[in-house]
Amino acid sequence: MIDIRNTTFYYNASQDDEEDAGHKPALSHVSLNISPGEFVAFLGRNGSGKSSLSRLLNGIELPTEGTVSVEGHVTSDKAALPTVRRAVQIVFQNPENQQVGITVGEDIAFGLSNIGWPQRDIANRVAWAINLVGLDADEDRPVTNLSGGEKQKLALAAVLALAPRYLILDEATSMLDPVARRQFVATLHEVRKQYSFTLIYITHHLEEVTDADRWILFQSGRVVTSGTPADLMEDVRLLQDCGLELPYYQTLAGLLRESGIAVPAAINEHELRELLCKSS
Amino acid sequence: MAGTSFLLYQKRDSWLERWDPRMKIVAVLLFGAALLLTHSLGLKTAQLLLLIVLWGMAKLSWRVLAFTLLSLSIFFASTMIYQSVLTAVPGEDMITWGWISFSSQGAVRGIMMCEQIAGIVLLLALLVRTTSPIVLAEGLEMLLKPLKKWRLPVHEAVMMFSIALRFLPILIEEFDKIRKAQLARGGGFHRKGVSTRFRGVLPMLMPLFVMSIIRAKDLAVAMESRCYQGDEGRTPIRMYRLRANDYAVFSFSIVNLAAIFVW
Amino acid sequence: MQIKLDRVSFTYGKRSRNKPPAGPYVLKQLDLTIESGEMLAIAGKSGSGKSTFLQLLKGFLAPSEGTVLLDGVNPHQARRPELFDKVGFIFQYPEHQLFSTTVFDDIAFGLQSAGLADEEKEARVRQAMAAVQLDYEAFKDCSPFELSGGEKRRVAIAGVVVLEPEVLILDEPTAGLDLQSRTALFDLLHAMNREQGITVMWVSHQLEEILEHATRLIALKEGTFLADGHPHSLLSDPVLLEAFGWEEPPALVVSRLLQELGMIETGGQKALAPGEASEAIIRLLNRQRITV
Repeated sequence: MIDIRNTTFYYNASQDDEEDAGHKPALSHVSLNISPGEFVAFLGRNGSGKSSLSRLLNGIELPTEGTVSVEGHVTSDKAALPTVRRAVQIVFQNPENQQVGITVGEDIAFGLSNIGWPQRDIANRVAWAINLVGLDADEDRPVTNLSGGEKQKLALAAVLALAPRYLILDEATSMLDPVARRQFVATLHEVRKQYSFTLIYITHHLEEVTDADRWILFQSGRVVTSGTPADLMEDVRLLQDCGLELPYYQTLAGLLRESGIAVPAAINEHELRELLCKSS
Repeated sequence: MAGTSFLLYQKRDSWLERWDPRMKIVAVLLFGAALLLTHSLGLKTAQLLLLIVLWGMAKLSWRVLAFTLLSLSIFFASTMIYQSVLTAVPGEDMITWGWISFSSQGAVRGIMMCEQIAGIVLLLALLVRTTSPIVLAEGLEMLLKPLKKWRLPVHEAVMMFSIALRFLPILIEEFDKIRKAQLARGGGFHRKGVSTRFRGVLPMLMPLFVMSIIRAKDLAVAMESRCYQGDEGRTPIRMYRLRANDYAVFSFSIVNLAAIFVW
Repeated sequence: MQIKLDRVSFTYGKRSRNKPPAGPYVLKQLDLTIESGEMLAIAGKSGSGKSTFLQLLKGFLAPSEGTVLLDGVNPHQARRPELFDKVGFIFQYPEHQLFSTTVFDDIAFGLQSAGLADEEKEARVRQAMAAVQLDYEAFKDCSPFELSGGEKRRVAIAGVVVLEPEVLILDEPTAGLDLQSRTALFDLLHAMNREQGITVMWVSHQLEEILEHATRLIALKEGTFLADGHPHSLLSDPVLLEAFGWEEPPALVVSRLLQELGMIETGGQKALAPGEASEAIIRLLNRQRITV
């Protein structure tokens, strides 16, 4: 379990309290639990604190106040940090800026080598990870040859090779075109069938997280609300304030329900057609 | 793009790629020393020819070889002029062709100098283009391991080197993009005088600098997040074992170096 | 300004005399006329030749074959490269190209070689900032690096608008922006298009965005235009959708469904916003209830 308790976080926290009075915290007084196996989405506008929080979860940044603990290990405990890091892995936004290796194989091996994976098994593990995400590339393929979507799949393979129990996707699809984005999301769900982990999904695109267990909405460094997608979809105004746009069908369903027409919140073309044609 | 592809390793499954990186680096050093130390024109020429043969065996493109040598041609020409015309020692045989007169010994010195330069460039190009940067970095790190005793940051230096290689093509592409973007909003300053153009330098360099910092920060976070903590507790990605092949290369390099003292 | 492409081909391969150019063509035999005042979206995957195509319009590249005409003049042949200055080009993530210490200096960068008096320069920057809806007094002395992502992007756009272009080309202008900033950006582009008659061309991957804002769509694949027309008809064309791996935008699907049921007038493609669609559906259901 990930336990975030009354956490406040400033970038470049200064020792001088007076100076802090002037600048705004990236997160203020956030408390949150994430249970094993859950699929949660962090949603909110740019700068609302959702990405900052993800960096606190594996100890890349440490809270200015409060604590973050992962399976009982507090991130500010230096001795526990390697354990925390291994348990919580992140795929970042920019496909260009997260590969260390020149080739696909070297890049996946980089993380394995860091955690002291037995040398004779590295090649196997690399092959396993490439296969897991269905990356159409052998390990000698140079990273620069990959498309944006393939680079993000590689990033996914590279972190999954470390067998994390929590996976954070920090706007991992935001720089991909819609086709690549759909493929990435499909891959992710395919992978989750074979190998289960807690998924923390940060995005602006609601259609990618309609099947999440829980949505958590951020605004100016605070958690505004959290709940199931079905519940939060009702509050279109709040979603808009958080920079989120409901997909077309969901918006339509919301409007129809407001007028007293009973339709499912996640209506699709087929159901709409049935509704309209049934009675005519 | 020719500039970037020059430095980049690409897998071609050649015999040279299978050499142990440590032995390859040692062989390059020994061969380079031999090349610089020989005073025999014949031996230098033979060594240069050998490098060209190795270039072929490494399945590298002949066009790149030609491009590499041609790009040095101004350098060759000035070396030849300097050695044979400008610094002719009195008493050397002077040969006169039309209005030029040059010293024949000077010309030989010039040729040897050019061969030396070409040889070193080819040698390094061969090393970099037949060895994956990570393998090269690991080889270098293993060779320099003794220096760690004096607390020299060998691992960090090698890591930086390999990351620099990884990001070089991206930076070159980025520079091109920034250049065009600034031209697009520069109101045609690039067609005006030199002083206006000069004012265009900061707008190019500043964004490049900022972007490099952003990249470096992103990458550092990504590396740290993937459990990187220096060379503590790392397993090497590959196991390197010296094979007969590598000993043969080593012996040849020694013989080659010894030859210059015999000749 | 009218832009006309006449059988334009492009290859990065070197061209030698009397021989056809070596190397693969990035663009093949493109014919196109863009009239003044269009709102034109360009779609295509990376590697479709899209970026080469845009660079031809700005004059960064010259066609290997064929001609690019700006108001009937070929700037390359006429040796008038300054004609391309009328085309404003805004790259992806333009905020990364900011470099000055103040917003004013950054926007005025393009004016430095024009030899303007200070008052005139100020007036132009004021105008450009007004065009991108940034308050002059509040922002002119700020460092561009302190601004939010959306504001930075508007500063960068002002840096091009200040040159008073007649055509504005934007490469994925909404990438990385949140809903509010995206809406604000398109309000701005529409305003410039409507009030100053600026032709706006932008690259987009978002079909909803194209459907909502474009009056014309060009789809590039493997160096040729697969389609050129109104987004409403193109984005419901199964052949085109298949070729690009796109899904038909729900607005079109629902509109067609309602058209089939006779709830909205037929003739011409429609893309109904969710509000309009829900009204039509409610009307339909009410009518059915009455007839029952």
